[in-house]
Amino acid sequence: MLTDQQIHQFHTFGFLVLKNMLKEDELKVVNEEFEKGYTKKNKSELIAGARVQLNWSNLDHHSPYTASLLEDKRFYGIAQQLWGEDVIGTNSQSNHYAGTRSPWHPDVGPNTHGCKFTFYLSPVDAESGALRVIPGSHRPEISDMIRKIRLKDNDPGPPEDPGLAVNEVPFCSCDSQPGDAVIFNYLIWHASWHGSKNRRMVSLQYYKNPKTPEEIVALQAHGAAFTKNKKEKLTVAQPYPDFWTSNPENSLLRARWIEWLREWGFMESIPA
Amino acid sequence: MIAENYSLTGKQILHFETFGFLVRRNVFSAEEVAKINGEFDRRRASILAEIDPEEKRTFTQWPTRNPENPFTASLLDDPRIYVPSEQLVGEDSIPIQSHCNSYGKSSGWHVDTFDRRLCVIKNILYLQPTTADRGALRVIPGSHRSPLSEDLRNMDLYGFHDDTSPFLNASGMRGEDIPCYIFESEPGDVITFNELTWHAAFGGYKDRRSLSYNFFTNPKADDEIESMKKIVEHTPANTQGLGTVGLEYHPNWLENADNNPRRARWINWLEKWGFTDVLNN
Repeated sequence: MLTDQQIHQFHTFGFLVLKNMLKEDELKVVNEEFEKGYTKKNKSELIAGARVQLNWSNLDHHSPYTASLLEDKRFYGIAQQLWGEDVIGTNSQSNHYAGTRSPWHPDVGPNTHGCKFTFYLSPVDAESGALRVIPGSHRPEISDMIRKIRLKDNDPGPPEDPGLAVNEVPFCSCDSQPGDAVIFNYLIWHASWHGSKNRRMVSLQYYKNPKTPEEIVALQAHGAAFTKNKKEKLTVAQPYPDFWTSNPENSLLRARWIEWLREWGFMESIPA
Repeated sequence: MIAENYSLTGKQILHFETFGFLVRRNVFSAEEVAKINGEFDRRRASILAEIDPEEKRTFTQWPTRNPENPFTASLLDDPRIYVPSEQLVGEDSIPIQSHCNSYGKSSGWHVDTFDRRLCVIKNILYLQPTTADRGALRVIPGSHRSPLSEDLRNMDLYGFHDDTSPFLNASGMRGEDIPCYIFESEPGDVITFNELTWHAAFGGYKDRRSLSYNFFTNPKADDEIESMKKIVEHTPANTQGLGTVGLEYHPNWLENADNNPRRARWINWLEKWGFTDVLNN
């Protein structure tokens, strides 16, 4: 669980690096399950341009242990500390990157709240594909300013005055070892640089249950944006696997999440 | 290669406004830095001999505007310093303080001002290579803006020395653990930051060196004028607290023998606002 200072730090800067969240034996299983998923994945379903990314759901029969982490108190307990008791576990994904960079972006638009746990399966640092973040950029006051800066990947501009490349934007590197988790607010601007062609990352995703009218509208818009992302090949439509939705152990927690996902229209496909 | 066009691009200005700082690489040549370091060596030696022969101070600062370090003094009139500064703070901005700084230790997280009524920027030229664990300036991007600035203050991060930051003491974190951009640099690079931006430097060592040139907005609105009056009022105590050695504005600089019109404007302004009195007495 997080200390009060860590919670304060997360809300101030928009992210945390948590050391040794997965033990060695757990990592071994997660790596094996990743390999199974990667083998099974259709390699033609590349997404997200420069990232050269393949992603797939872990909520399936090939990765039962990784799927179980979404309901593991170590993680959803932290998500509850950050977003309330009724936080929703929405997804767990595996990601394989063969591109050397991920352009700067936040994961969602304003007023959609939640966090992603990312586990990089090999050591990464600033020059080898670690997550780069702009501390505090989950705040609209900073995020709105960043949107005004021309970023090379989004808007290259003329050759004599190109936009900023990924490595020209000031950042904090979330260096990590296997087993560490980087947890970040969906709204924070993040990127990566100089990743290997075999970079592997597993994520757990949680959403705040929307309360305010702004949050409700934003979550509805997020669904619409997801459809747009599918069209632009930023993600691939995948139905929630029966393996997970059948909820064979009758987990009350999962039952509540599934009900929420149905209510908000996410059951047809998994938000990336 | 030294840049010949000293003006900032629109992109650089937007970067500064967004993140609260701007890095320019290779602004001064190795030969120029060697000249500055030579002057720094001599001036520091004479100051220590005079006021701190046992070198007990952890911070020694003296003004640049002094004929004993003529090249360093000339940098204030160098377009590589004043052109970008005027672009960021206004064509009629004023360099109130310019210093040679010799640090003996690290600097914890702090801002140079909490007053957002006046825009003040600081240009810093480090005279030795800097790395994350050897004195590199760290800045929290965007921390000159509300509400991040206030949140950092409210979380009790402030502490010029690490052991005086309540947040670090309570959390068990080190200053190095606070997320930030680290300005690793070679001598000749320049970082310019808004004095509201949170910054720090760790891995300090004896005689860690920098030159700093700050530029203030020329106050026009009532609240800006009020703010500047407070700065004038508090300047003697602040200067005394820092232990700045010598006159901020040496008579030789005030004489302006070359009739430099920009310097004449500055001097006129500094006299009008009383800085020549409070910083030279």
